Amino acid sequence: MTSGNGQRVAFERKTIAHVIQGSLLEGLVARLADDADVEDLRVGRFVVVEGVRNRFFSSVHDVKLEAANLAVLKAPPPSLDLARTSLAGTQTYVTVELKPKLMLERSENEVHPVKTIPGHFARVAEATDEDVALVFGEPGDTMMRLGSPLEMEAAVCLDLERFVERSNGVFGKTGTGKSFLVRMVLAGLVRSRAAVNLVFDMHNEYGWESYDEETRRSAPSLKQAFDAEVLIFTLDPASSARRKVTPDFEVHVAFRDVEADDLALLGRELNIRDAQIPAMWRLSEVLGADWLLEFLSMAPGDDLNAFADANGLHAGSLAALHRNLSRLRKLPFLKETGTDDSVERIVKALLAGKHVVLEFGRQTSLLAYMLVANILTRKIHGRWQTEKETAVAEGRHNDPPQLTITIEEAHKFLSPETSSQSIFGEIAREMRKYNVGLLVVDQRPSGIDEEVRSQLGTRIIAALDDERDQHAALAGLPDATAMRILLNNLEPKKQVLLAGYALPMPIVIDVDDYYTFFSNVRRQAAGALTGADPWAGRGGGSAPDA
Amino acid sequence: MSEMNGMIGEVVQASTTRFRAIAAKVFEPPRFGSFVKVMSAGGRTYGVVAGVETASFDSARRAMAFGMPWEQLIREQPQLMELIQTEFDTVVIGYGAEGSLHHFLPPYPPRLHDFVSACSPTEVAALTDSLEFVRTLASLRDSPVHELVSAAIREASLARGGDDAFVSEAARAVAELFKDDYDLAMSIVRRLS
Repeated sequence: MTSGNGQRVAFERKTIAHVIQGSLLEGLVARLADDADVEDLRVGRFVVVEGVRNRFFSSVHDVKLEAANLAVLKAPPPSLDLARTSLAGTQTYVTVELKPKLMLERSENEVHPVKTIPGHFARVAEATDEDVALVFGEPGDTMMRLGSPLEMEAAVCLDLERFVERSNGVFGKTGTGKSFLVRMVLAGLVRSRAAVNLVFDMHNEYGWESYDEETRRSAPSLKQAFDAEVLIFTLDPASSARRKVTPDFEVHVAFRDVEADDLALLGRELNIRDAQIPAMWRLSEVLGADWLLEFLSMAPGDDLNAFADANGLHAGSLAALHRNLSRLRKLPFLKETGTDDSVERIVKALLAGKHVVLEFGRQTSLLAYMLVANILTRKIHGRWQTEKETAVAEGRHNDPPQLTITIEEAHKFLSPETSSQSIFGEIAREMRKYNVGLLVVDQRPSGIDEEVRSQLGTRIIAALDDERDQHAALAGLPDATAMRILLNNLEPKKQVLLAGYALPMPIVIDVDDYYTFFSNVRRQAAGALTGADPWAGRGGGSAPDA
Repeated sequence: MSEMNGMIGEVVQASTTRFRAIAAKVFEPPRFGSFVKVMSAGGRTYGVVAGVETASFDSARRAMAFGMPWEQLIREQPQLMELIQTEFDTVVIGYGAEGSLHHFLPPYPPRLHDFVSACSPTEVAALTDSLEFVRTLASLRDSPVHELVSAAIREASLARGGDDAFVSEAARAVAELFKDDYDLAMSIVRRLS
């Protein structure tokens, strides 16, 4: 945009308010223009403040009713329209609190973080589509359109290249459309090839279609859009068959793959007390790689007592551990011998640039989910480390491909008690060292270890009721306190706060319609849709597939 | 006698801010709050009628009660009409000279014995395009300001053909003007609706 053009645009904008006071630290206070309607000003709205030399991009954080005279408040005017309109703007007025985030010098095309504030009476105006494009970029291959600012049509884009450089979080209470949002982001990653994905799909939503309770139709998912690029692995082939999903592979986990630390993580699910964890370490030390199977094969009673005596373990405690761990035998995917090296298949697929969705079918117990996710991730992460080290030694700086691992119920893996043992805690902390990042999906971010959540680069946050969850979801972001007010005012559905590394400034958006989005992605994948905007936004005019 | 046309009174006392006039006919003063003008040699002085009074000519002799119906009184005491007069008090709100109109006080007060006439609707519209007259009226201290301000706004609206937008603008000006006296502002606004 040229500055001349910018000037022209400036005159077309509708004035909302004029700045009357403020500071860089606290933000700006502006008085609402007399012809502006307070009810039009929704918290989170994206606006522009026009200084003399700079334009400041900002969002509305609060709206306040003020009175010049206390008497007005003590005796509100009679219910005559004339009385109320005569007071509006004279004795009663409205102020708007704004937080400028970015500024743009008039002659420049690049936005910078704010370092100053506009002067008195600077005009606060509606943002235009050009402003949104200037700040959030135009949709493109790795610029993914996710939605638009409140009351606007322009695209707000997620910079996928930056997105995958860190671990990220998607938070929101149940029923906010979290899983639809995650599917959109994953589709973006697949389409743009910004990362290969491994999805631990606890509720069978990310591979094939799932039932959408709100629209009462089946919502398509990654495999339908990208076909051969996405492989579905399953832990429960019978469930897949019932849902008419043809999985690419069935996943087995061998007992010998289970390490003591994997089980330590499952303390609560397996009812293992902290005191029993050293016993498991001792078991694996004494019995070697097949410790678990050998231990479970011991007969309760004499065998166990003898073993306890020989190794200096408490017999009663060992018997309890034996009972608890016996539950693992009920998991159908856990095999005595490795019949198929599932990890190897998954790694191969990922290295070849394919995306893997691991369905759990009816194995949706946390025990199964956490056990499998942790074991597979530990092994895959190990492989990625090896690949990375080899690649660095050979000067291949782009290998292995950037990997994003999506986990649900993340607080189970990343709680303060478990995050130090779980591989996920390690991945979140080591950042992009080995080209592996997490996409953490959770409805209770307060359950996640503080150290881990402050490492999350980009947050996509839907409505959260609990105050602790709101705090946690924003932890580590600048201005987190100010942003809580935005969170508090989110619609329960299809509205999210985007903030962090992949966004130039935090913003509340109305999320694009899932079905339209997906039908566009599918048509594109099939080569039917071409155009400047690969994400063909709301205004794209394409009807969703029935 | 063309200058007598539309004449409703004659100035008998004048200062920079106010003038008093005797109505051309007893009991026929201009309406309270209406807009009047005085044509003098130096220009036109515009004002708003701020009070009307009918009393005996002779301040030493007060009118007395007769206890009879009006028709009978006029028939039996016809001289009475010659002994009383109607006087009105006007607040100056602006002046005009050589085709211009100013919403502030004139350099000189009107001359005594100049004639007072009512403003035409066009003149009222021009005078009240700026709401400065509200401020001038509001600055009075010796008359019921809320009554005067609301009457003047009602008269102006009437002359403008019942202009609601004007009333609402004027009400805002009142609220702004009396921001320190909310009760007064509201009592004026109530009188406008």
